[in-house]
Amino acid sequence: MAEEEKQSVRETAAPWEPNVVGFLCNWCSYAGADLAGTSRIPYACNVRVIRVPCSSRVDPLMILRAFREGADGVLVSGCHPGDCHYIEGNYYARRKLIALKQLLDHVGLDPRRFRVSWVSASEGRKWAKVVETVTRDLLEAGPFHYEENGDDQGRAPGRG
Amino acid sequence: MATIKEELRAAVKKLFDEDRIDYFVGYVEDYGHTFPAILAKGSDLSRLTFDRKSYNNLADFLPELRGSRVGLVCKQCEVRTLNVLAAEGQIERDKLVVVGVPCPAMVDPRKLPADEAGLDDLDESYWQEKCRRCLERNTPFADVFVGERASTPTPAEGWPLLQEVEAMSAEERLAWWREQMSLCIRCYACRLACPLCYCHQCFVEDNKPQWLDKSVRPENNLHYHIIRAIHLAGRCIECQECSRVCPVGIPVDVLNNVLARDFAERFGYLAGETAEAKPALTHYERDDKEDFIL
Ligand code: SF4
Ligand code: SF4
Repeated sequence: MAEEEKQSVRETAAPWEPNVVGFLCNWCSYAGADLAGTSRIPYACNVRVIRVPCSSRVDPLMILRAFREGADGVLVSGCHPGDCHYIEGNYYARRKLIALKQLLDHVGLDPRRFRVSWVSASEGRKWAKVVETVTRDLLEAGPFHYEENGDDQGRAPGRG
Repeated sequence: MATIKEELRAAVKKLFDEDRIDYFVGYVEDYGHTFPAILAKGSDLSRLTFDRKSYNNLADFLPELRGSRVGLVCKQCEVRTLNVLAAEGQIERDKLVVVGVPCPAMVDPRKLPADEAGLDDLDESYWQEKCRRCLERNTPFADVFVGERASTPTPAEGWPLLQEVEAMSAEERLAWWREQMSLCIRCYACRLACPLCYCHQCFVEDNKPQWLDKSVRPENNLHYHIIRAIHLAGRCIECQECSRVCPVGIPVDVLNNVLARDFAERFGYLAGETAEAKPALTHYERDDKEDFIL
């Protein structure tokens, strides 16, 4: 096992662990994550995987819903452009995810909370690296609450 | 010389008399106001008008009238909407009679002097924001054109409020949007006024699964607005009806403008510019610029 991989895994659990919801396409990223497992590559266990047929199945609604349900971060992962099992699904997904990314950045959501990656079925190592990056960034960013300073009704400060 | 009102009334009367249309969608004046109306055959046409307060986007009524032969006053806002609706198969162009008008640029009623003095000559400072960005003042594909052709405008660059918000830091933007979202009462007037929100079943009413919490809390309101902006991505034609109708004054269209601006830069795409352009989200290029993907 490469030295850098060993070091990238935290020895002890942090006091708070980020909850990441990962939408993985069946054909590439899910298989890539599987390969990371069967190759016994150690990496952070913070991503809760939801398997979808294709990255274009991921509706922005699902991503926002994941945040509403308490996710600290969301990761969408699919095949590399050009490698989609359905030929062009990830090209459509890319435009949709670009749009969502623009909006989330605009309303001031920390860019570390919403990530997209292309991981193929043979990229177990890349998958491990993506998860490490996402988890490390979220450990820095901290837990996600939209209404950090709101009152118990969820209203913004200073409103009746 | 006949005024544009008289010309319009005569043209519409002719359309009804020749039995070319079942309904006419236009503006009527009453009680000192101008408002949109759907006129059926035999209606009183004497209140039909087109003036500087005809700011509503009349294309909003078209998906409902689908199947009937409809005549429509069509300024540039409607032109771009019709292009999008046509590309999405929502209107039958052969059943539509487009009445073209020269648009004098609409005024913003919130900026009007109380007595509405000199309505016809009010300068840019009284205009609706959208009119500063207008591409063309005459209807390009009119079946009937009334009035004299207007000169081609010079569209203003950029969206002032969007630029203001984007000049803020991420934390300030978060606070600004929180503030706006805490005002929203989720009356869905923005959705109703939008000519491109024509879904019979909207995600906000879905119960199984329930995508959106029904409680009116800022985070739920933001959830609604972000998804609505996504549904309008590459479709919004910047008529600003959503912001105009909002009872609490939230500039809803800023979110749509974020995407309109980005899609123009990224994909060279402007919604409703032509009837042929494929909607941005049902189309792709192999080398679309992706700058954040791991
Ligand atoms: S019109 Fe205004 S208050 Fe009503 S749902 Fe839209 S943004 Fe909220
Ligand atoms: S918000 Fe979306 S689902 Fe609802 S009416 Fe508009 S386009 Fe349709």
